[in-house]
Amino acid sequence: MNGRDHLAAGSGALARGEWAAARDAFQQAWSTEETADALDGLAQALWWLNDPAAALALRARAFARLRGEGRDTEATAVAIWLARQYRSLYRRTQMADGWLSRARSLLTEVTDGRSLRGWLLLAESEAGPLGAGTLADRAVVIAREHGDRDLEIVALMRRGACAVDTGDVARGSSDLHEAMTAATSGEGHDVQYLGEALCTLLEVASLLGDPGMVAPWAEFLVGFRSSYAFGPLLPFETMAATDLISAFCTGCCGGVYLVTGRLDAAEEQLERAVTQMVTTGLRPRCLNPVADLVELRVLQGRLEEAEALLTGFEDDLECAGPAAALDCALARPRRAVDRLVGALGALAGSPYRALPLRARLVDAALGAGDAVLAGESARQVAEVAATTRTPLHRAHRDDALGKVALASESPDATTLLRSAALAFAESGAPLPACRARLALARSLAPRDRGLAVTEARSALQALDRMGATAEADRAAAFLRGLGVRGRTGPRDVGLLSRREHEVLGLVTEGLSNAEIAERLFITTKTAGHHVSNILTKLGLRSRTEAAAFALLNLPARQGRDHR
Amino acid sequence: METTEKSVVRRFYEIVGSGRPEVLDEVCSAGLKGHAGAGSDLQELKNSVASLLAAFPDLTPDVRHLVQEGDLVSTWVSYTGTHQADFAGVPAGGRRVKFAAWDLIRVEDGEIVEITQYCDLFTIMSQIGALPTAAPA
Repeated sequence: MNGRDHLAAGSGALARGEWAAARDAFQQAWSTEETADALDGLAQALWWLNDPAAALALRARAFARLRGEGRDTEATAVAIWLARQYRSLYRRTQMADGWLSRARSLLTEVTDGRSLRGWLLLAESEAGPLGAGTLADRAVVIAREHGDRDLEIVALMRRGACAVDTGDVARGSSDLHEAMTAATSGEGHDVQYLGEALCTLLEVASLLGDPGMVAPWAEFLVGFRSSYAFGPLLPFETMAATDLISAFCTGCCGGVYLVTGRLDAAEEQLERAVTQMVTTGLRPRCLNPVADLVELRVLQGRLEEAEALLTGFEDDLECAGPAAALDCALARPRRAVDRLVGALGALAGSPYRALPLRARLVDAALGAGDAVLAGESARQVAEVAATTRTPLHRAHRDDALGKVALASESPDATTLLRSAALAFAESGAPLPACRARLALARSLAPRDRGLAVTEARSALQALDRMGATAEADRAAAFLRGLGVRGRTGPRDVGLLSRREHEVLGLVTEGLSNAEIAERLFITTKTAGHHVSNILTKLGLRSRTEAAAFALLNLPARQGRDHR
Repeated sequence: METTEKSVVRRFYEIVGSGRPEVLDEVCSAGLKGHAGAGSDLQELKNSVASLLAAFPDLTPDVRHLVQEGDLVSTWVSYTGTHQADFAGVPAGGRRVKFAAWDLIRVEDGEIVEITQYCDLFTIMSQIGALPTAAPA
């Protein structure tokens, strides 16, 4: 085979998604003849094989060769690609800006630029935060003029994300779904942009707190994830997760686990992501792993580690929330308030990105004794929730209003907090659900101590299970304040005395305290004591649960064999 | 027209379905006596309802039959819900459950004064996957 054949083989392999074959073909092409095409193909194959550092370096060399061969149009395309990569993968803005300027000045000399001006506009749009979307809009127009479907897909996604960010959910969703329809029907040419479109969709879905947005594309997503390795878009390979979003991007989103309460999984992913960021500079597109790892450490009560991690990232907008959580945990709510107010100023035009910070500001303000600010913040959360109507935002609203009501001892607190706990659970966020449940228990305590104990125990159990140690300690302390034991040891019928064992058997049969008393020749009061001791020892909340527990753990007696 | 007793009992299930056990005072006498799953008094009844709601937050009762004789109302209720938190030491698995329950309720002066509750625990435990041997072949 000659160089030309190798190049053709490489291009074919790239189009089929056979990255290793493409790499080999382009390497052979390069050793036969050192051309810009061989270098550029090799770079693209390496990008997919998850070696973005090498890919970017090679494509920069390809750029120089293309220019040397007088192929300025193609060189411009490469420059724009490099600018976008440096920005999205590494957040190296100076490198990105440098390549962007390069592309801009080349483009003035190019005569057959076709849709390249649109790509440039897209890259310029991405250079700033989400916002007005005018640049992306112009990119869409150019893409359509020139029939460049890849650009149309990516630019539509960007325009949609901008619209959603500024509060126009209807228009944004329409763009996003139009782009996804085009992408999934195979209109696009380069599968890389399909991957980018998927990432944007997930990003917006999480911005809105609406996983339902992704649902129409669910089947497609899973299939896509399994047929293409994702290159550096999703750097790690784990497929343990059950729900769709984490199935799609477990790789970059240790953050997903944080919300879903799988703290052990989150810890592993986030530690890897932070290590990777520190050693190679490669950074997941949709989150700062440092921010999420700080959040996790605060939950675990490992505050010193959290503080150490945060060093150098304090001013990062994405870290404002976790940093404020750390401030609150370290009993300096005033500092948390200042930090959050500052970050919110920077997010003034982005109501959805601001929402989690506003929700946190409610806690910080209450901690600092500033009820007015807390109330104001809660009202703003409610305003945003009224526009999106997603369960997650509804949960944030009820949680915020409920905590404000709790602080002012308003009777509405219980209803609001219960509804928050339910809505958080409904939107797949058990961790905030537990926090809301604990606040619910606090609201119940003055009126209904027994129910407060039950709710707090539920929260404690779940928090312990998730490994949210600090939060669990708080729940246990609250329970001790109510005069009951918070944590229970391992749940084992072996902990029960012989008498309690006997009583548990009778509870399982459905006997009331009076009937148990009669059966065992003890007073009703003593029977009641036995029952509540059993519940405490086994960490259970009711007789029904005790009976269910016995069903699993008591040896089946004659005549009650369940098989 | 429905009797007072029957509408009090219906309200009881509405409250359970609304997920707010703290509101049970509305329909229950402070001196309520309970038996079996309900626990022995109002407090234990609330705990029992709360513990089911904690594990199955979307718990929805469907009153299939409601019959009355004198001050006694008897119901067959079919509950559905999703297992979203620990129940009897079994961690949440997100499974849907549907189980039957039978209650016998005495109503005096528009208040529930006595309640006996049984529910099909075996079905619950089987549906949340805690009884591996119980799966049908």
